[in-house]
Amino acid sequence: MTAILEVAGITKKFGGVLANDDVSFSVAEGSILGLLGPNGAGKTTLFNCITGFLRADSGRVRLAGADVTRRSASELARRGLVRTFQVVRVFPYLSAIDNVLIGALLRASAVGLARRRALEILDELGLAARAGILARNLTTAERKRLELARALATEPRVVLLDEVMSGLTPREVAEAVALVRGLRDRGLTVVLVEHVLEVVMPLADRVVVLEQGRLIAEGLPAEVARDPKVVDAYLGTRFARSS
Amino acid sequence: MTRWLPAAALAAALAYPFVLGSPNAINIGVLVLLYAALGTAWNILGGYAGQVSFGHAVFFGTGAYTSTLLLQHLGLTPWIGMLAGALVAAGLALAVGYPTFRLAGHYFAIATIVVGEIAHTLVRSSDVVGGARGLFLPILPTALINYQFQETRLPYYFVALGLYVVSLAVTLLIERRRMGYYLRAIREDQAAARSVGVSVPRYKLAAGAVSAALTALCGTFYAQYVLFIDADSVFPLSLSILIALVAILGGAGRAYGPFLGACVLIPLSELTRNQFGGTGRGADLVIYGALIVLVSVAQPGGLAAAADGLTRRMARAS
Amino acid sequence: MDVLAQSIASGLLLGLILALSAAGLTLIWGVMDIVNFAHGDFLMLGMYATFFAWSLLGLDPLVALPAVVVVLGLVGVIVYLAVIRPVLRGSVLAQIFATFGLGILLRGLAQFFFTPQFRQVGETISSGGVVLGPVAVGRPQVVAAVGALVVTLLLFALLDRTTVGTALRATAEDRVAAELMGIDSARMYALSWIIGAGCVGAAGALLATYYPIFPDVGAVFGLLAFITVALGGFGSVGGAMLAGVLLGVVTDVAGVLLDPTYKFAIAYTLYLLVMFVRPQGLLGRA
Repeated sequence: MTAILEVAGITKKFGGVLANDDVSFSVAEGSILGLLGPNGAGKTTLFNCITGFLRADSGRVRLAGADVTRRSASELARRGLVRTFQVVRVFPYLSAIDNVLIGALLRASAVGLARRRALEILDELGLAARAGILARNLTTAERKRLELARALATEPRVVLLDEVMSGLTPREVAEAVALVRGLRDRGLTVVLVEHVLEVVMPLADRVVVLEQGRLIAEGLPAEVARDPKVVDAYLGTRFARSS
Repeated sequence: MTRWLPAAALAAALAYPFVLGSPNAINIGVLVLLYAALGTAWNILGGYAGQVSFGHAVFFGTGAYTSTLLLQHLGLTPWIGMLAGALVAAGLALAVGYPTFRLAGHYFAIATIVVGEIAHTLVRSSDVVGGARGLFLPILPTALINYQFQETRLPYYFVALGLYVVSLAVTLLIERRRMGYYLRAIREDQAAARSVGVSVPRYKLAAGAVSAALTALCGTFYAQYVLFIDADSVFPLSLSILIALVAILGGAGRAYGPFLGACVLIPLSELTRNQFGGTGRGADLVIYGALIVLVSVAQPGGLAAAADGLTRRMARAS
Repeated sequence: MDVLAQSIASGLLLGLILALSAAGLTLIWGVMDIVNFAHGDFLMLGMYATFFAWSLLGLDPLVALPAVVVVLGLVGVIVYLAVIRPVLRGSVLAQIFATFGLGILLRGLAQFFFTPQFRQVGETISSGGVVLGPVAVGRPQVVAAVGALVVTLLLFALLDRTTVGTALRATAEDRVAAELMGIDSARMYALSWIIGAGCVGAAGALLATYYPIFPDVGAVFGLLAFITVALGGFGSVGGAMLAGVLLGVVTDVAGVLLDPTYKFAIAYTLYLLVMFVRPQGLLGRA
């Protein structure tokens, strides 16, 4: 399997605080990578550096073999790398269908085609009945799904999902897990930042763990879960017991 | 209901000067259409893309001065001067917009005020363009090519109507295409827009250039209508604010909003000025200000949103 | 050279008053993320209140100042309840529109009731001149600047040292988190309008000791207050002070060195340059 996304030596400082310290990892095409770490470990900063929302102080990002370091977020989306946000960001005063349509416009040559594509995707994600509703009037779970629908509408190769499961009910989490598996089965590569570990561990093909900006472990979920450094730093006894 | 509304409005606009033919009525009609066109032009940047500008008088003044200077110095017909003014204004919007569009929210709005005030000061103090004395346009015989109509003001009314229709057509064209969706995405959430591949700076610049060009067309019209321009009449902050208010009162981000706004605001401000303005006591400002506060408190979405609600209720009732 | 020293001194003195009115603006802006476009007109009201206290009641502006602060605080809370609270749920456009309309309304009311005539407070206890080496300035200017500095420092102390101040800053920082800590954000909003309007009222009272008073006086001062706030950095009172003094000096020096016509244009250009290089303002955080 070839690596579709390679991150090498990303370092990012805010004032005196080292948010990311020489972080490197790679993601194989068609796999799910779990990115774990306690609050404040620098996961979202790393996401922002990879997706062009922040400029890393040093380090490189390669997408499908091409160097895309310091490319703008919109350029990365055109090259097939899209993200969702930790705090959901839909277009609040636009309808659900228009939200997704705007994503679909990236590949569609005309608005009509984009609208048709958007309807298909809404249907796939079970939001077809909500197409005409303003995004701000949807439930939290629906808005998260809408954001994912909008990202998928850009026909990405890699999606980076920032805490898509947080704030969802257990039933909604189960649906979201099935959804993410479905993405991989369609050949997409998924990077998943998540807090609900019990969900990530069985879902991810590989995991990397950040702590205080540094990468402290990388490997198969089962290996990482047994890594004493990880257990100490983050997982504590809770996960050790449940596995 | 909504399908025949634009056609009916156009018919009413065409019939208006023949039904109410007094010079005063025609003058108010011209002003309403002029501000409707200006508000519609502003709306592309301010309403759709959400970049609130309080500096659009710069583009209005650019249009007025460009065509007037070309007419005075080269004898160029104002029709071509009008297009030249639109081009200059669009170029100016790109040059000023490049750095200012990086500013967010209120910082951007204040930057536009500041740019407008700088331009106002520069024009007022540059003798090359007439300085504080302003420019008188040469009086030419009535002819379409001269863009001057002395005997009756009626042709001006139709030119103003044409300007409004052009602004509206451009708006509708943008609204239904990629650009319209991208502009709304930028207004709603810039980070989210970037995340799905929208090149935010490029679309803001495009919206700014189109909006500026349409505004400049109106500036040339004003110069030809009044036949005198100076910095205080075509570059002031109060004009920039009025343009924005027309659009916001009517309903920013809605194609027909600025027309509604102009229909209410302009006659009202003319009426109060005629009724109370002569006393110099500011009663016109009181009414004007109170109305603005009232509308924003009672109907934050503008008149167009209120009209939408009304249409929906009527549709349900019938 | 004397002229230059002179203009630096008078710019500095005006800058301190600018800083005070900007501090009021930045407080509201910081706490509620609303820009009060009628802020300059609040200053105008403060000046008129001072003028009438002097002409009708014979009160010296410095004596009337606390009363003017109270009156403007009242205006602030009334405006908050009647205009701002209803538009809080509206779009930013509706908010801008509402405060702009309010400014026009206040200007119109001032014209209607007070006429467009220029007024001037006559002899006061601070009348006279001060000579410091090469610089000769009016005593009212010095007294007003010192007064503005004192009020600004009081505001600083209030925000920094008291529980109410901490609650205000917490609301500005993160409204939701502050609410979770039991801070009533609606009360903080009202309070920010009372204090913000009170500050600009004090600035008006001080300015009225030497500056002519007319309905449009707030237009230029209001714009300068916005620029001061943005230049200093959103929500930063210290930044507002620095920027106020800087703007005051730059406008007066530019007026002397270049041409009085350009003095404000130079200040505006300074604002643009700073914004392009440091969009967060001089002392603002990124």
